[in-house]
Amino acid sequence: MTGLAGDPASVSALAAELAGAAEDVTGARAAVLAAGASLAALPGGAAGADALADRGHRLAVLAETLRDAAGALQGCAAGLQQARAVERLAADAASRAAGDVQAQEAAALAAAAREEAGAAGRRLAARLAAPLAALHR
Amino acid sequence: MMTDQREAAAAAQQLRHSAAALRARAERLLAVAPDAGTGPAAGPVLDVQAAAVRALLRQADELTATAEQLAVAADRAGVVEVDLTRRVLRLARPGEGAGGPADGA
Repeated sequence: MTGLAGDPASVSALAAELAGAAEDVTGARAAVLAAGASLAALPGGAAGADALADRGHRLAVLAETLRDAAGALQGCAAGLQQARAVERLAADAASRAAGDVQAQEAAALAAAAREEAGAAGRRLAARLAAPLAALHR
Repeated sequence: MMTDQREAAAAAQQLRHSAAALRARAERLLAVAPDAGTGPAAGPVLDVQAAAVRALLRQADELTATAEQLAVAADRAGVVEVDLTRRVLRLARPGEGAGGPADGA
């Protein structure tokens, strides 16, 4: 379903995959740290071990960013769920306005509901901005 | 040193597994078709998905390269180990010490 509110379940599924990705990256970080320790024990491996420690740090940052993004997307899915309810309210109000039952009041309610749905979307977009910027780094 | 070499080879293998896990996750992420509607959040949701996929694939590539480097370092350490063993054996034989006929010097 594509509407103002979209399909919250699909966004929630994306959030779950991102949370899983954070776990995978955490596992990769553990493998990198173990590799660093192994490399350090080999002749001339110290410099390579330092580079692996750096990579481990970057992976830790990525895992944290992915967790953050997953949280933002879960919030987004919840927000979309609310936006759906608002959409239904707006549609109902518009329908009543069309039937000329307290027409002006219903039309105003519909407009307010749409405005709130738009504002909620802007808040969600703003919440995603930080993890998105971090992922681009 | 032989133990260190084996550990390094095992660590390289683990890195390869981690890289494969990240690639598999990137594919699963890509397979999700999020519908965030037509509101302001729709674009950022898709952007996050694309950026996460790219980040995972980039890390997977780097881990694969690191695994190969580690495997090479482990092999090199193995060569050093074999060479050292040969030298010790030669030293243990009278008349075949360092610089002796068997040393190739």
